[in-house]
Amino acid sequence: MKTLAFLKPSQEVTTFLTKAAMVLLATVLILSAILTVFPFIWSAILSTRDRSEIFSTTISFALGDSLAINYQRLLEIMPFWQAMFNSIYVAFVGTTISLLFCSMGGYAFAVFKFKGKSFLFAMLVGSMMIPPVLSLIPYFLIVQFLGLLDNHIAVWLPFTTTPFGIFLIRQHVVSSIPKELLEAAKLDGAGEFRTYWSVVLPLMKPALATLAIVQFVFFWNMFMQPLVVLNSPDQYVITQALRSVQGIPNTPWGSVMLGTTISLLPILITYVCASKQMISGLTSGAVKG
Amino acid sequence: MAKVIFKNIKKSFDDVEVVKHFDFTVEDGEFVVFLGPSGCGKSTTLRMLAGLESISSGDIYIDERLINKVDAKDRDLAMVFQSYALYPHMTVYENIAFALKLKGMTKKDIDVEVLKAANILELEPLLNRKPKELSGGQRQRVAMGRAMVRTPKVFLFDEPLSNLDAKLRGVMREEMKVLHRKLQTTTIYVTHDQIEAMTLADRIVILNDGYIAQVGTPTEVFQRPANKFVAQFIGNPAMNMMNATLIEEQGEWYIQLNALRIPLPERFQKQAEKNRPVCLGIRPTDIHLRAQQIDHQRVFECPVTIKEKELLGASILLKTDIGSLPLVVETQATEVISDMVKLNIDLDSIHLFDASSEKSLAS
Repeated sequence: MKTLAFLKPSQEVTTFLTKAAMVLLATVLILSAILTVFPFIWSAILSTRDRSEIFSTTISFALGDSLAINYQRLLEIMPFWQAMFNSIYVAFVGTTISLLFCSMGGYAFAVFKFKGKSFLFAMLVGSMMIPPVLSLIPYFLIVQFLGLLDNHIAVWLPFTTTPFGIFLIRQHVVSSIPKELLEAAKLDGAGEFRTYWSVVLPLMKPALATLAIVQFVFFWNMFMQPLVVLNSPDQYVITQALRSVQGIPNTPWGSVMLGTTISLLPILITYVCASKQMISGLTSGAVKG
Repeated sequence: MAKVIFKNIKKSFDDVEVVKHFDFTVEDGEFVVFLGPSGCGKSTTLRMLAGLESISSGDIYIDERLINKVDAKDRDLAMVFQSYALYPHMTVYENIAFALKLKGMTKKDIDVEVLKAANILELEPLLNRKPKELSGGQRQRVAMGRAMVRTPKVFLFDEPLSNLDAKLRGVMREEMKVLHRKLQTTTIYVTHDQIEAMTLADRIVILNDGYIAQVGTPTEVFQRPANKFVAQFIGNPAMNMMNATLIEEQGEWYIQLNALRIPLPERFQKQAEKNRPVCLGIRPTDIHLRAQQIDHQRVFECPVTIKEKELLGASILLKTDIGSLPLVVETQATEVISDMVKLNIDLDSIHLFDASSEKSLAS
């Protein structure tokens, strides 16, 4: 070992290398962040410009002065606020109900003993592997059969029970809710539903917050499914409405960019509200740690 | 308050039989402790009574009512868990009030009951705190409060003090005793700590490997253990256990311990058979250095050399040999002056067990 001692780097070299690695890491992270955020900022900048400015050859980050005109044009080419409302409605109702259904399903898989549980759970997890596009035609046929075409229920209801959501909640219940709590509730006289509602649900908050963000973003970004089932423009959700004007002659890109920028806001707000809840550790103090 | 009857209870998890045969009646208002080593089936039995575990075979009655198929929430039992199992998102007040709310009591009545329990357990200043803001002892008291307000038919305790430090455990033991005296509710308490069992119980049920090894008052199980297991399990330091043989010479019976012969006390003579292999049990506290400490003549004297000493404070443990077999003696620390001592074994306090059945030979 003595002969190899000279290979061991000195204290200074180690410090320098650590610092260099940190700088490199920071650079990579900053670049990735810029790459991620840039399209959003660019669309916000473009929403203040007119068509000629947008298609000019020089690249400039200056704000234009056509915001008001773009806004007016936006309202002319599509029922923007109606579409926004539709999207908020679909995302809000869909997310709320999926929180309820997924938490019930996940809780059942975590706690109840019943025949075929493992098989059902395996099917559920396995179904996550199926690409959503593959189920588009069956989805349309079922919606048509139920007579829900051109109805918002068709957009949110089928997606309220997601395998991912059930899986997430099940894992959370198994790992963070002590069995004794459920037993204590039982002995306190609580039935199955009461135990779920008063004891388990409040303790699921971190998992529910995560699921809420995932589901809200999913419903908000939904495009294929509404495109297939919603026909009348006043039923359009925002993704669909913004896409629908891209075909018209001389597409007013400034307006489209403005609509896109505004449509980002609800997701941002949701994230800010729910991310606080995502911090777990809510169960600390339940049982002796 | 209620009487609990266990009739031939058995419990298996798949192929593993945890409770093999449990027949026992807890009388109304009694404080019974289930005591035994880990895995003896004591907690499982309690959980079967609580309705948290199904019963493989046998019946459980509470006040003559068969409860095998009754849901846990309808059995009217209150349980305190080892981990306390407090609802972390509720305050102390809400934790205690939860069961009352489910009963459909009015807010005013709940308030009265919760404050009454909080008063007894000195929890009043903590009512608005969440469990994570409480110490172990306080959480334990909240768990007891939660059980208390229900005024259940039976209190169940599943090793409730094992997460507390030794000092607090002593305090809580005292509090539980006072509480039981006050409420007079039938109580079943599971523990592996013999001090808890001895201090709290009206009767102790000692379990071993899924069977009841002995039932009796704390004094009975300590002074008259029914078998070798109980003899060794109860008492600290554990009873000295030595393999020996019974012999007869000129009409006199002796316990032959290698080269040593101890006269066989009369209470064992009915069961005496020549060359019968036995286990001789002597508690370390039943061996004295001074003959005056025994108030009768039935004493066996034996000079020995002390090999090792362990000072415990007021008392001392002496390790030595008799008949070439290791022996532990507990005595007053001040009595040990030299390493050569004469042991006085109180023959009224020795125990003999059959070597194969391990049952006591005392009649």
